[in-house]
Amino acid sequence: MPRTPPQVGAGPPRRVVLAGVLGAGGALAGCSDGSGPGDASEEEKAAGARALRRRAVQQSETLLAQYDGALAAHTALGERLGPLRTAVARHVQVLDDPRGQRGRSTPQSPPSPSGEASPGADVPEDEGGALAALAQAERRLAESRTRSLVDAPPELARVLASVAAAGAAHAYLLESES
Amino acid sequence: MKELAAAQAALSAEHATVYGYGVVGGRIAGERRKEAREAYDAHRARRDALRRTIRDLGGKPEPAAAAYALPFAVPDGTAAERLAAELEDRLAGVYADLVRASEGARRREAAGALREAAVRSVRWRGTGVPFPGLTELHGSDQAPAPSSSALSDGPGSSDTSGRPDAGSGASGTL
Repeated sequence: MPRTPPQVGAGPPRRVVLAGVLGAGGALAGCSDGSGPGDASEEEKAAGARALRRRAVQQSETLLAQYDGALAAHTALGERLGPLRTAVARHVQVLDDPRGQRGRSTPQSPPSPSGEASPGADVPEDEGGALAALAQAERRLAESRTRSLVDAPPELARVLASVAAAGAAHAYLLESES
Repeated sequence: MKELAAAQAALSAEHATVYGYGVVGGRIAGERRKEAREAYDAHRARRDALRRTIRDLGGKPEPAAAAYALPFAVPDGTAAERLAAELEDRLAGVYADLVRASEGARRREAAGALREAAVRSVRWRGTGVPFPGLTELHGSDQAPAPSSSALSDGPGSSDTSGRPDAGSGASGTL
Protein backbone atom coordinates (compact mmCIF):
# COMPACT_ATOMS: atom_id res chain seq x y z
CA MET A 1 0.00 0.00 0.00
CA PRO A 2 1.73 3.24 -1.05
CA ARG A 3 2.14 5.78 1.72
CA THR A 4 0.61 9.24 1.39
CA PRO A 5 3.14 11.40 -0.45
CA PRO A 6 4.69 14.16 1.62
CA GLN A 7 3.27 17.64 1.08
CA VAL A 8 6.68 19.25 0.81
CA GLY A 9 7.92 19.50 -2.74
CA ALA A 10 6.45 18.18 -5.94
CA GLY A 11 7.34 14.92 -7.53
CA PRO A 12 6.17 12.57 -10.26
CA PRO A 13 3.29 10.30 -9.21
CA ARG A 14 5.43 7.25 -10.00
CA ARG A 15 7.54 8.09 -6.96
CA VAL A 16 4.65 7.20 -4.71
CA VAL A 17 4.29 3.74 -6.20
CA LEU A 18 8.02 3.05 -5.93
CA ALA A 19 8.12 4.38 -2.38
CA GLY A 20 5.25 2.03 -1.62
CA VAL A 21 7.06 -0.89 -3.20
CA LEU A 22 10.20 -0.24 -1.21
CA GLY A 23 8.17 0.93 1.76
CA ALA A 24 6.23 -2.29 2.25
CA GLY A 25 7.42 -4.01 5.34
CA GLY A 26 8.76 -0.81 6.84
CA ALA A 27 11.60 -0.18 4.42
CA LEU A 28 11.48 3.55 5.00
CA ALA A 29 11.81 3.26 8.74
CA GLY A 30 10.64 6.19 10.75
CA CYS A 31 8.42 7.72 8.07
CA SER A 32 6.55 10.68 9.40
CA ASP A 33 3.07 11.76 8.38
CA GLY A 34 4.41 14.14 5.77
CA SER A 35 4.37 17.34 7.71
CA GLY A 36 7.60 17.39 9.67
CA PRO A 37 11.03 18.83 8.94
CA GLY A 38 12.59 15.37 8.70
CA ASP A 39 10.87 14.71 5.39
CA ALA A 40 13.61 16.26 3.30
CA SER A 41 15.95 13.47 4.40
CA GLU A 42 13.24 10.89 3.85
CA GLU A 43 12.90 12.15 0.30
CA GLU A 44 16.67 11.96 -0.13
CA LYS A 45 16.72 8.44 1.24
CA ALA A 46 13.93 7.38 -1.08
CA ALA A 47 15.71 8.94 -4.04
CA GLY A 48 18.94 7.24 -3.04
CA ALA A 49 17.19 3.91 -2.76
CA ARG A 50 15.60 4.32 -6.18
CA ALA A 51 19.00 5.16 -7.68
CA LEU A 52 20.56 2.16 -5.99
CA ARG A 53 17.85 -0.14 -7.27
CA ARG A 54 18.12 1.30 -10.78
CA ARG A 55 21.86 0.73 -10.74
CA ALA A 56 21.31 -2.83 -9.59
CA VAL A 57 18.99 -3.44 -12.54
CA GLN A 58 21.55 -2.00 -14.96
CA GLN A 59 24.37 -4.07 -13.50
CA SER A 60 22.36 -7.25 -13.86
CA GLU A 61 21.39 -6.29 -17.40
CA THR A 62 25.07 -5.84 -18.25
CA LEU A 63 25.84 -9.22 -16.74
CA LEU A 64 22.95 -10.74 -18.70
CA ALA A 65 24.42 -9.35 -21.92
CA GLN A 66 27.76 -10.91 -21.01
CA TYR A 67 26.09 -14.30 -20.57
CA ASP A 68 24.35 -13.91 -23.91
CA GLY A 69 27.63 -13.04 -25.57
CA ALA A 70 29.30 -16.11 -24.12
CA LEU A 71 26.36 -18.30 -25.11
CA ALA A 72 26.45 -16.95 -28.65
CA ALA A 73 30.19 -17.47 -28.98
CA HIS A 74 30.32 -20.89 -27.28
CA THR A 75 27.22 -22.91 -27.99
CA ALA A 76 28.74 -25.94 -26.26
CA LEU A 77 28.44 -24.04 -22.97
CA GLY A 78 24.67 -23.77 -23.40
CA GLU A 79 23.75 -26.47 -20.91
CA ARG A 80 26.12 -25.14 -18.30
CA LEU A 81 25.39 -21.43 -18.71
CA GLY A 82 21.66 -21.64 -19.49
CA PRO A 83 20.40 -22.01 -15.92
CA LEU A 84 22.74 -19.29 -14.67
CA ARG A 85 21.61 -16.95 -17.43
CA THR A 86 17.99 -17.66 -16.54
CA ALA A 87 18.68 -16.74 -12.92
CA VAL A 88 20.33 -13.46 -13.91
CA ALA A 89 17.32 -12.65 -16.08
CA ARG A 90 15.14 -13.24 -13.02
CA HIS A 91 17.37 -10.86 -11.06
CA VAL A 92 16.76 -8.15 -13.64
CA GLN A 93 13.03 -8.78 -13.48
CA VAL A 94 12.68 -8.75 -9.72
CA LEU A 95 15.09 -5.87 -9.10
CA ASP A 96 13.17 -3.86 -11.67
CA ASP A 97 9.71 -4.81 -10.45
CA PRO A 98 9.90 -6.28 -6.94
CA ARG A 99 6.17 -6.76 -6.50
CA GLY A 100 5.68 -8.21 -9.97
CA GLN A 101 3.17 -5.52 -10.75
CA ARG A 102 4.02 -5.14 -14.37
CA GLY A 103 4.17 -8.79 -15.34
CA ARG A 104 7.04 -8.47 -17.77
CA SER A 105 8.22 -11.65 -19.40
CA THR A 106 11.79 -12.75 -18.80
CA PRO A 107 13.95 -10.16 -20.49
CA GLN A 108 16.01 -10.93 -23.53
CA SER A 109 19.42 -9.35 -23.74
CA PRO A 110 18.69 -5.62 -23.67
CA PRO A 111 19.61 -3.29 -26.53
CA SER A 112 23.05 -1.83 -25.87
CA PRO A 113 22.52 1.41 -24.00
CA SER A 114 24.36 4.51 -25.27
CA GLY A 115 27.08 3.04 -27.39
CA GLU A 116 28.24 0.03 -25.43
CA ALA A 117 29.92 -2.66 -27.48
CA SER A 118 27.65 -5.49 -28.61
CA PRO A 119 27.54 -8.44 -26.22
CA GLY A 120 29.61 -10.68 -28.44
CA ALA A 121 32.48 -8.24 -28.83
CA ASP A 122 34.69 -9.08 -25.87
CA VAL A 123 34.04 -12.76 -25.30
CA PRO A 124 37.25 -14.76 -24.82
CA GLU A 125 37.84 -17.15 -27.67
CA ASP A 126 38.28 -20.22 -25.53
CA GLU A 127 35.56 -21.69 -23.35
CA GLY A 128 37.72 -21.64 -20.24
CA GLY A 129 38.41 -17.97 -20.71
CA ALA A 130 34.74 -17.22 -21.24
CA LEU A 131 33.82 -19.07 -18.05
CA ALA A 132 36.55 -17.30 -16.10
CA ALA A 133 35.42 -13.92 -17.38
CA LEU A 134 31.85 -14.61 -16.30
CA ALA A 135 33.01 -15.84 -12.91
CA GLN A 136 35.02 -12.69 -12.42
CA ALA A 137 32.07 -10.51 -13.43
CA GLU A 138 29.77 -12.37 -11.05
CA ARG A 139 32.24 -12.12 -8.21
CA ARG A 140 32.86 -8.41 -8.68
CA LEU A 141 29.16 -7.64 -8.91
CA ALA A 142 28.47 -9.67 -5.77
CA GLU A 143 31.17 -7.77 -3.91
CA SER A 144 29.86 -4.43 -5.10
CA ARG A 145 26.35 -5.35 -3.98
CA THR A 146 27.55 -6.53 -0.61
CA ARG A 147 29.13 -3.10 -0.06
CA SER A 148 26.13 -1.10 -1.24
CA LEU A 149 23.49 -3.04 0.66
CA VAL A 150 24.77 -1.83 4.00
CA ASP A 151 23.21 1.59 3.47
CA ALA A 152 20.14 0.46 1.57
CA PRO A 153 16.61 0.46 2.98
CA PRO A 154 15.82 -2.82 4.73
CA GLU A 155 13.83 -4.65 2.05
CA LEU A 156 16.15 -3.62 -0.77
CA ALA A 157 19.12 -4.67 1.36
CA ARG A 158 17.56 -8.11 1.76
CA VAL A 159 17.06 -8.50 -2.00
CA LEU A 160 20.57 -7.24 -2.77
CA ALA A 161 22.04 -9.66 -0.25
CA SER A 162 20.14 -12.48 -1.92
CA VAL A 163 21.28 -11.66 -5.45
CA ALA A 164 24.83 -11.10 -4.17
CA ALA A 165 24.66 -14.56 -2.63
CA ALA A 166 23.35 -15.97 -5.90
CA GLY A 167 26.23 -14.28 -7.71
CA ALA A 168 28.77 -15.83 -5.37
CA ALA A 169 27.17 -19.22 -5.99
CA HIS A 170 27.32 -18.61 -9.74
CA ALA A 171 31.02 -17.76 -9.48
CA TYR A 172 31.60 -21.02 -7.64
CA LEU A 173 29.75 -23.01 -10.31
CA LEU A 174 31.57 -21.24 -13.13
CA GLU A 175 34.96 -21.88 -11.57
CA SER A 176 34.37 -25.50 -10.64
CA GLU A 177 35.06 -28.43 -12.89
CA SER A 178 32.04 -29.10 -15.08
CA MET B 1 10.91 -8.22 12.45
CA LYS B 2 13.06 -6.59 15.09
CA GLU B 3 16.77 -7.30 15.01
CA LEU B 4 16.75 -9.25 18.25
CA ALA B 5 14.01 -11.58 17.04
CA ALA B 6 15.78 -12.06 13.71
CA ALA B 7 19.04 -12.81 15.48
CA GLN B 8 17.33 -15.36 17.73
CA ALA B 9 15.82 -17.01 14.67
CA ALA B 10 19.26 -17.19 13.08
CA LEU B 11 20.74 -18.62 16.26
CA SER B 12 17.99 -21.22 16.43
CA ALA B 13 18.72 -22.22 12.83
CA GLU B 14 22.46 -22.40 13.53
CA HIS B 15 21.85 -24.66 16.54
CA ALA B 16 19.85 -26.99 14.33
CA THR B 17 22.50 -26.79 11.63
CA VAL B 18 25.33 -27.67 14.00
CA TYR B 19 23.33 -30.68 15.12
CA GLY B 20 22.47 -31.58 11.53
CA TYR B 21 26.09 -31.47 10.39
CA GLY B 22 26.88 -33.90 13.15
CA VAL B 23 24.56 -36.33 11.42
CA VAL B 24 25.95 -35.38 8.01
CA GLY B 25 29.51 -36.02 9.15
CA GLY B 26 28.60 -39.49 10.28
CA ARG B 27 27.18 -40.48 6.90
CA ILE B 28 29.05 -38.48 4.31
CA ALA B 29 31.27 -40.22 1.82
CA GLY B 30 34.99 -39.95 2.44
CA GLU B 31 36.15 -37.26 0.09
CA ARG B 32 33.51 -34.84 1.30
CA ARG B 33 33.99 -35.46 4.96
CA LYS B 34 36.54 -32.65 5.21
CA GLU B 35 34.04 -30.25 3.68
CA ALA B 36 31.40 -31.30 6.20
CA ARG B 37 33.86 -30.78 9.02
CA GLU B 38 34.72 -27.28 7.78
CA ALA B 39 31.03 -26.42 7.54
CA TYR B 40 30.45 -27.79 11.02
CA ASP B 41 33.24 -25.62 12.43
CA ALA B 42 32.07 -22.56 10.50
CA HIS B 43 28.54 -22.92 11.81
CA ARG B 44 29.72 -23.27 15.38
CA ALA B 45 31.60 -20.00 14.91
CA ARG B 46 28.48 -18.34 13.49
CA ARG B 47 26.47 -19.69 16.38
CA ASP B 48 28.90 -18.21 18.87
CA ALA B 49 28.92 -14.86 17.07
CA LEU B 50 25.11 -14.75 17.17
CA ARG B 51 25.14 -15.47 20.88
CA ARG B 52 27.39 -12.43 21.34
CA THR B 53 25.16 -10.32 19.10
CA ILE B 54 22.06 -11.28 21.05
CA ARG B 55 23.73 -10.39 24.32
CA ASP B 56 24.86 -7.08 22.80
CA LEU B 57 21.24 -6.44 21.87
CA GLY B 58 20.20 -7.06 25.46
CA GLY B 59 18.72 -10.48 24.87
CA LYS B 60 19.32 -13.94 26.23
CA PRO B 61 20.59 -16.38 23.61
CA GLU B 62 18.18 -19.26 23.16
CA PRO B 63 19.80 -22.59 23.90
CA ALA B 64 20.04 -25.48 21.51
CA ALA B 65 17.51 -28.28 21.78
CA ALA B 66 18.77 -31.59 23.12
CA ALA B 67 18.07 -33.17 19.75
CA TYR B 68 16.35 -32.36 16.50
CA ALA B 69 14.01 -34.36 14.33
CA LEU B 70 15.45 -34.76 10.87
CA PRO B 71 13.27 -33.90 7.88
CA PHE B 72 14.02 -37.26 6.29
CA ALA B 73 16.00 -40.41 6.96
CA VAL B 74 19.73 -40.09 6.37
CA PRO B 75 21.02 -43.59 5.76
CA ASP B 76 23.83 -42.77 3.35
CA GLY B 77 26.07 -40.16 1.80
CA THR B 78 23.55 -39.04 -0.80
CA ALA B 79 20.95 -38.32 1.86
CA ALA B 80 23.60 -36.64 3.99
CA GLU B 81 24.47 -34.26 1.16
CA ARG B 82 20.82 -33.49 0.66
CA LEU B 83 20.41 -32.79 4.36
CA ALA B 84 23.40 -30.47 4.31
CA ALA B 85 21.87 -28.53 1.40
CA GLU B 86 18.56 -28.23 3.23
CA LEU B 87 20.29 -26.96 6.34
CA GLU B 88 22.03 -24.28 4.32
CA ASP B 89 18.82 -23.30 2.52
CA ARG B 90 17.06 -22.79 5.82
CA LEU B 91 19.91 -20.67 7.07
CA ALA B 92 19.79 -18.54 3.94
CA GLY B 93 16.20 -17.68 4.80
CA VAL B 94 16.88 -16.57 8.36
CA TYR B 95 19.97 -14.61 7.38
CA ALA B 96 18.06 -12.79 4.62
CA ASP B 97 15.61 -11.71 7.31
CA LEU B 98 18.48 -10.69 9.57
CA VAL B 99 19.96 -8.54 6.78
CA ARG B 100 16.67 -6.68 6.63
CA ALA B 101 16.44 -6.28 10.38
CA SER B 102 19.98 -5.10 11.03
CA GLU B 103 22.29 -2.27 10.09
CA GLY B 104 25.96 -1.51 9.66
CA ALA B 105 28.49 -4.15 10.59
CA ARG B 106 25.86 -6.65 11.76
CA ARG B 107 24.04 -6.35 8.47
CA ARG B 108 27.32 -6.94 6.64
CA GLU B 109 27.90 -10.05 8.77
CA ALA B 110 24.42 -11.36 8.02
CA ALA B 111 24.91 -10.77 4.30
CA GLY B 112 28.17 -12.70 4.48
CA ALA B 113 26.47 -15.56 6.27
CA LEU B 114 23.73 -15.60 3.61
CA ARG B 115 26.36 -15.74 0.89
CA GLU B 116 28.16 -18.62 2.59
CA ALA B 117 24.91 -20.53 2.99
CA ALA B 118 24.06 -20.05 -0.67
CA VAL B 119 27.48 -21.24 -1.83
CA ARG B 120 27.44 -24.24 0.51
CA SER B 121 23.97 -25.19 -0.64
CA VAL B 122 25.20 -25.22 -4.24
CA ARG B 123 28.26 -27.23 -3.27
CA TRP B 124 26.11 -29.92 -1.67
CA ARG B 125 23.27 -29.98 -4.16
CA GLY B 126 25.07 -29.07 -7.39
CA THR B 127 22.48 -26.48 -8.37
CA GLY B 128 21.12 -23.34 -6.78
CA VAL B 129 18.19 -20.97 -6.88
CA PRO B 130 17.94 -17.44 -8.24
CA PHE B 131 17.12 -15.83 -4.88
CA PRO B 132 18.79 -17.63 -1.99
CA GLY B 133 16.93 -16.95 1.23
CA LEU B 134 13.91 -15.24 -0.30
CA THR B 135 11.36 -17.89 0.57
CA GLU B 136 8.47 -15.83 -0.83
CA LEU B 137 10.00 -16.34 -4.27
CA HIS B 138 10.27 -20.10 -3.91
CA GLY B 139 7.86 -21.92 -6.16
CA SER B 140 7.49 -21.80 -9.88
CA ASP B 141 10.77 -20.06 -10.46
CA GLN B 142 12.88 -21.78 -7.84
CA ALA B 143 13.28 -25.23 -6.40
CA PRO B 144 10.69 -25.94 -3.69
CA ALA B 145 11.34 -24.24 -0.36
CA PRO B 146 12.77 -26.47 2.32
CA SER B 147 9.98 -27.93 4.42
CA SER B 148 9.20 -25.62 7.29
CA SER B 149 9.47 -28.63 9.55
CA ALA B 150 12.98 -29.34 8.36
CA LEU B 151 15.07 -29.75 11.46
CA SER B 152 12.28 -28.70 13.79
CA ASP B 153 11.93 -29.86 17.34
CA GLY B 154 8.87 -31.84 16.35
CA PRO B 155 8.32 -34.80 14.09
CA GLY B 156 9.70 -34.28 10.62
CA SER B 157 8.38 -35.53 7.32
CA SER B 158 9.15 -39.02 6.23
CA ASP B 159 9.80 -37.96 2.66
CA THR B 160 12.70 -39.97 1.32
CA SER B 161 12.12 -39.35 -2.38
CA GLY B 162 14.93 -37.77 -4.32
CA ARG B 163 14.84 -34.10 -5.12
CA PRO B 164 13.60 -33.51 -8.66
CA ASP B 165 16.28 -32.56 -11.12
CA ALA B 166 16.58 -28.82 -10.91
CA GLY B 167 19.09 -28.38 -13.69
CA SER B 168 16.72 -27.36 -16.46
CA GLY B 169 17.04 -23.80 -17.64
CA ALA B 170 13.30 -23.52 -18.11
CA SER B 171 12.67 -23.98 -14.41
CA GLY B 172 14.77 -20.96 -13.64
CA THR B 173 17.15 -22.53 -11.23
CA LEU B 174 20.88 -22.10 -11.18
